[in-house]
Amino acid sequence: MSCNLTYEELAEFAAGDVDESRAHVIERHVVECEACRHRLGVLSQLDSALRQLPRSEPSAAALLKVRRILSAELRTSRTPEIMTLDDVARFLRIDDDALGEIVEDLPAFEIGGEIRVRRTRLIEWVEQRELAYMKATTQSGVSRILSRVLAQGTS
Amino acid sequence: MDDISDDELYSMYADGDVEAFDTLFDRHRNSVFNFACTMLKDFTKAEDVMQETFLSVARAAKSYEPRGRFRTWMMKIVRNSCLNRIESERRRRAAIAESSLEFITPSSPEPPSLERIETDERVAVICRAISNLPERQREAIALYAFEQMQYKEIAQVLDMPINTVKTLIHRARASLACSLDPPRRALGENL
Repeated sequence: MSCNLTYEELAEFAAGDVDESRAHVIERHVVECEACRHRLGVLSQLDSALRQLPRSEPSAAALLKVRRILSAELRTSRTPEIMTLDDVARFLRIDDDALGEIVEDLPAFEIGGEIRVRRTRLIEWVEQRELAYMKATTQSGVSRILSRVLAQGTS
Repeated sequence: MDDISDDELYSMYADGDVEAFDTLFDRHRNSVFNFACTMLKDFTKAEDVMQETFLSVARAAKSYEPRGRFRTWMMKIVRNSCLNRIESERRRRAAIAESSLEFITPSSPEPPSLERIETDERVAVICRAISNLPERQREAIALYAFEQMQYKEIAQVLDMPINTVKTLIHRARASLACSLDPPRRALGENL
């Protein structure tokens, strides 16, 4: 057999992906052909390097961003579309007292004597409050609120 | 949760266990990012694909049928997302070329190459060679080398017959071997 084996054929042979009779022919050839033995050596080095290649990893900033977005997604998708007041308190992460303070402002409706809130309306309502808060609050305002919260925490 | 299978975790998540999803994220985030990175050759775009993929996975829990194929199913989402980006980029470039505006369009910076992951000369050569492979060979070899997937799994992700996958991988290995062995190739390698 003259040496007209390609690297691709040797790659198939080295991976065990040629049929038995072809494998015998290549084996016999390789014994005689120094160039092919060398190339099989290179393929072997390549295959062992391929199994050890380090993976690229996302940056810490990207991971943080994806975690934050996922966390919001998971929290939202786990919440029912129609919420009870308990669901609202959990969603907003507030206690019953704080819920009592805002309950009259909530975009709620009544059904069968029970109060319910639609999740999408609640999210819009939260966004409006965020906007209003950002407009109305100056840096000193934030400081005042922080002082009040801290004072409540220590009392 | 290390000993729980992907399918079990995903099913726990579908039943409301958010921590199970966190475990899936930690288990697969590097694979997802690395595969996207190999396909797109761009870290920033790969990070966007990572975000897109996990959001899609989070939203698909109700429709997923557990058959022990979570990883291949997820990698398929990564691939589709990358292919969409590659296609949009091609269309964008074609549109720019057509309107002869390319000379006023700021050229995109050279993508941060896989050099970031070089640890020695051979790895560096292989990484550069992988990033220069044709698209289909590049995605096949990425799943073969980085994810150590079997031909069958790769065929599922790439949606092609196993024999085509084998051909792509052997061609890719042959090209990569040539990059490790340039002098002999120059002396008349028959490829």
